[in-house]
This record gives sequence, C-alpha cells and structure tokens, in this order.
Amino acid sequence: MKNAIEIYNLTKEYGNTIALENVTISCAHNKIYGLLGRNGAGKTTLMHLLAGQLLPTEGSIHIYGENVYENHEALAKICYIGPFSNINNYVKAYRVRDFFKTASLFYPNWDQDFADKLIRLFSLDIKKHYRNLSSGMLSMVSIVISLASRAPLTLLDEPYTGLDAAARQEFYDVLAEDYSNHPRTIIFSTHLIDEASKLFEDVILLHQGQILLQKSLETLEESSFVITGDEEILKSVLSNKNIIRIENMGRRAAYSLYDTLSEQEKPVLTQAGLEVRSLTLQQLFVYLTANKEGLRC
Amino acid sequence: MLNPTVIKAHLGVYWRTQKILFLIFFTILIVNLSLQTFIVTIINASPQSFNIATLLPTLIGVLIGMLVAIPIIQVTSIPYLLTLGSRRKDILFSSTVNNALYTTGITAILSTLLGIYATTSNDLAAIYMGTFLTGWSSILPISLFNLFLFFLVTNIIFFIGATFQRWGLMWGLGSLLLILSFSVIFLKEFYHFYLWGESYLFAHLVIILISVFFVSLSTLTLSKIEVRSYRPRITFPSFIFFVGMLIILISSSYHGVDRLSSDTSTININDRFVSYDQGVRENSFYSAGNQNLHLSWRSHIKEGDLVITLKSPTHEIAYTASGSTNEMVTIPLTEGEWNYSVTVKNAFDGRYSFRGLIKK
Repeated sequence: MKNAIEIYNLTKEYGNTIALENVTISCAHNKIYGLLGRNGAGKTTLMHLLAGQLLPTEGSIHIYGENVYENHEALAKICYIGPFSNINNYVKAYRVRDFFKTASLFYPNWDQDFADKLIRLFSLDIKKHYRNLSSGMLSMVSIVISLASRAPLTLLDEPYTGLDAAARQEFYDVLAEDYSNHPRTIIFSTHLIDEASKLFEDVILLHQGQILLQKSLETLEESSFVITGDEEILKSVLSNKNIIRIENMGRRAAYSLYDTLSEQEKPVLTQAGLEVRSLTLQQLFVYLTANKEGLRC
Repeated sequence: MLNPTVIKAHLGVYWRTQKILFLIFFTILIVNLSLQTFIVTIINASPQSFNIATLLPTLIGVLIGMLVAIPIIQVTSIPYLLTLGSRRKDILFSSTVNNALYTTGITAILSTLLGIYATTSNDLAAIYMGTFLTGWSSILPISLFNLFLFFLVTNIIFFIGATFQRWGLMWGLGSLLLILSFSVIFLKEFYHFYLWGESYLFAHLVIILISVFFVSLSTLTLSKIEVRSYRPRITFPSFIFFVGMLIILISSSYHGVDRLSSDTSTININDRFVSYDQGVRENSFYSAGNQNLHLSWRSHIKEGDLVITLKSPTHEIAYTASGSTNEMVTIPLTEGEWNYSVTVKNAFDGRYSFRGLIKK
C-alpha cells in the first residue's frame, strides 16, 4: 500500500528566497504527524505545497500515489486549514454559516451532524458576520471545518490562534476522539509543542527549509536526555555523545544530548552521581533548532 | 470533465461574496422607482408621467460598476477557492460560467427596461447602435449584442485581475494599459458602431473571437497561480513593462483620436415645436467626393407637414422623407456643395432630429 504522502527532492523558491530545499519525506496512512519548526522554517509553505495551493520549483509530491497538481481526485482528499484570517480576507462578506455551507459543498465526506455538534461545543453563533468574530472564534470555525470535513489527509497549520487554554484542551480531546473513530493522516503544525505532543505519533522537524529529522515520538523520547551533575564527570563520560546544549551552573552543569543511552550506560551514569532525565519535545526542538551544527538525521 | 458539484460549490462562493453587489444594485433601482412613484402621487399625475428613461442612466451606471466589480471579486476569491481544493482550470471554468450567467441576467434587465421605454415612448423613437427603439422586436439585436459585449468585458476584466493576482501591481497595470491601448486605436470603429450599428453579425464574430482569446489568456495566467495574493512590489522588469505600456497607450491614444477626427465630420440638427405655421431651415456641407453620408432622420408630428430634403451638387434629390419617420440610410457623396432643408407647414406638436456622419 502506498504511503499517504511521498515528497521527493522538493524545493520551493520565492524569487531569490529558498523556502524549502531538497525536502524528501514520506508519511504513512492514519497517523498524526507533528510538523515543527521555527518561524520561517518553511512549515506553511510545505502545507500549501501539499494542498496544491503552491507549485513546487523542483521535486514531486504524491498524495495517495497521485500527483496533486490539478488532480481533482487527490485534492478532494485534502483539507488544509491555515491561519484563518488569511483566508477570510477574500470572503469578507461571509457569515459563519457561509463558511460551513461552502465547506460542505467542497468536501465529499463532510459530516454535518458532527459539524453541528462542534458548533454547539464551541458555542459558535453561525449568524455572526466575519468582521465581528474574534481571532479565537475564527480558529473555532477553522477547527470545525477541519474536523467535519473528514478528509483523509488533514493539514492543520496553527489552527488555534487566539484560543484560550480550555478551548485548546477541548480541541485536543475532540481531535483525539474523532481520530480514534475515524483514523486518517493528520499533519499538525504548532508552536505549542508540549501541549500538542500527546497527539503526535511522528515528528517532522523543519529548519531553514530543510528536514532536520523525521522520527517517531517514541524514538525521540528514547534518544533525548538531559544529564545533570559535576561538569568534569559529564565531560569525561559523555565525550562520545551528540551534545546539543550545555548549561553551566558553577561546578555543576546540565548536558542535553540527542543520542541513545544503552541499558548498560544508564546505571553507570547514575552511579557516577549524575541525574538522567528525558528531554521534553519542546526542549529538544528548541535545542536542535538553536544549535544544529553537525546534526543531520 | 468538470464535476457539477464543483461548479455548484464555486458558484456558491461567488454568490455569497457577490450578493452585496446585487443588493446595492436593486436598492438603487427601488429607490429610483419609489421616488418616481412618490412624485407622481404627490402631483396627482397620470401613470404616463412615470419616466422610465430616468431609470436608464442609473441602471447603466450601476451596470458598468458591476461589470468591473463582479470579475474582480471572482479573482479575489481564487486563494479561497484554492484552499478548498479547487483546480485552477475549474476556477476559470466556473468564473466563465458565472460571467455568462451574470451578463445574461443583466442583459435581460436592461432589455426589459429598453423595451418598456420603446413601447411607452410616444415621441421620437430613440436610436441605439443603429436600431430604432420602436417596440419589443427592435430590442432583439441589441440584446444579443449586449450579451456578447458584457461577456467580453467581464472576461477581459477577469484576465486583468488574474494578472494582478499572479504577477503583481506593475504587471497588472501594464496589461491594463496594453488592453486600453488596443481599444483606443479602434475608437473610430466603436464610435461608428455605437451611432450607426451596421453589421451585427460581424460585430458578434469579432467579440466572440476576442472573448475566446481572453479566456485562453486567463487559462495561461491561472495555470500557475498560487494561493499567495500579490504584493505591490515594484521590480525593475515590471517597472520597465509598465513604462513601456504607458508609452504605447499615449501613442495609441494620439493615433486613435487622430483617426477619429481626421476622416469624419458630423451634422446634428434637431428641433421641437407646439405649432408652426410655415418655415424652412436650410444648410449645406461640402464633400470632397468619394465619401459616404450616414444619415439618420427621426421625426414625429401630430398634424401638418414636416419634410426633409437632401440635394446633390447637381440639385438632384438624394433623399427625402415626410411626416413621422424613423430612417437610417447611407448615401454616396459626389464632390461639391450638398444642401439639406427641413420644411414645416401648418404643423402641430412636432419634433425632428437629423444626424449625419460624413466618412471617407
């Protein structure tokens, strides 16, 4: 069975600016991927390219084995929701109900009952005009569309701008429940990494237009640590490890590493008086993108 | 083949974004009609006092605005449609369908008003593109022509909008200037057709060909359009293109106006009266020969005689008409002084209009 997404040597240039360079990734069916990267890393460009809204400068994109460009069959399987206000600039005359009505016309798997349920959950007033909606409410509109579309490939690009913590939690819960009932491939781009990381199965990390890593969350958890203790001991025992950050605190230090620790190595470190903890995904992201020298996975 | 659901979805987007324009359009019409009804009621006048002619300029003004606004709104919907998984060719197809639907509707409204105007007018018949508005049947050729013309205009504006969307401000303005340049070169032909009509079939063929050309250009432009909207960024090539097109427009304007004035001259006389015992209004013009006089004569009289006579340099009668008449003729002119006269005798409640265009 073909992968849901196959991207090969993808490059996208805007004039003289290279937004994406030689990106090659593949995504399996029915998985949630976290697409992470700093501002300007190329996440939104990649999402747009996947949805056929931008055209590649070089390389190829295949969705469910088909070229996405001008392909009605492939495009009908994709729902891309970006920062909602950007889309709305073109349809300022719309009310909330117009957005849902339009979406229902475009997405063949649209589930109106589920949309109604989400509208009630988020207490959305469908008669409200676009210009009267707060950024949080606009995000709710986009979330309803992204979930009710039931598109086999759902692309969520920062879908909850302006949402408060409670509403975001509701969104995570609804997404997790709906995903378990209707599995599909979801690419989820966010800067609220720790919050959303519970949803991710795989992580794709983009940095300066290139893929820094694509790994399962489990693998990342098993290969990212922070080890605290005496600096001299840390230096000697971790000399052959891939250290991505060093924090000095007098004679003590905290070494963050992106590397595996074998079952034999862990007790040795503990016995040497060092404390070993796992890095959170957000910490790993921050350290990798701040210090990427010498690291290509 | 385009999926009917997709067309329906696209038209749904257009309707939701454009309905405000239709609201404005109908508001203007209703306000105008209400004002007239109010005035007629206040002065206790007969329903004939309702002047449908005053609706026409309002309607035409709104129409011109909508001919520009509708395709531009379609173009601004492109990024939104792309986010909903639309193909570029589907967007163009549904836009063209929308343009056709819109122009059909507008033509129908305009024709209805022109028809009402033509049938209720007791005075001189109005003339529009070489057709006398004397009844419903006279509206048919005009309606067909308007349908094609409006369709052409919306497609051209859609193309210009698409160039703005894809390449940005300067390239968009440049293409607008280029299209204007071509248009002004043919000012003479537009002007002549507007006044005198002539071959509708030829005009339709030309319009269809130009429409197909612009739809094809839009296809090329949209084939690589992206979700990003243009930014008004000026690059050196785009600036050079814009300046080049500006120079072309200035040159073609000079040439077009020169063509308009150099080989044509016009004669325009008209009068109206309640009663007229007797009188003759005479005038003359010189023809260098090998020219044509396009002449429209419209007259309306309740009682008495009203006669137009056109005499050649050899004093032969080249054209004459009397009483209430609507005619349009083309008369070959020989070299010399041509005379025309309008004779009125024991006439009551009359009007006439003599309009001539002398063309090489």
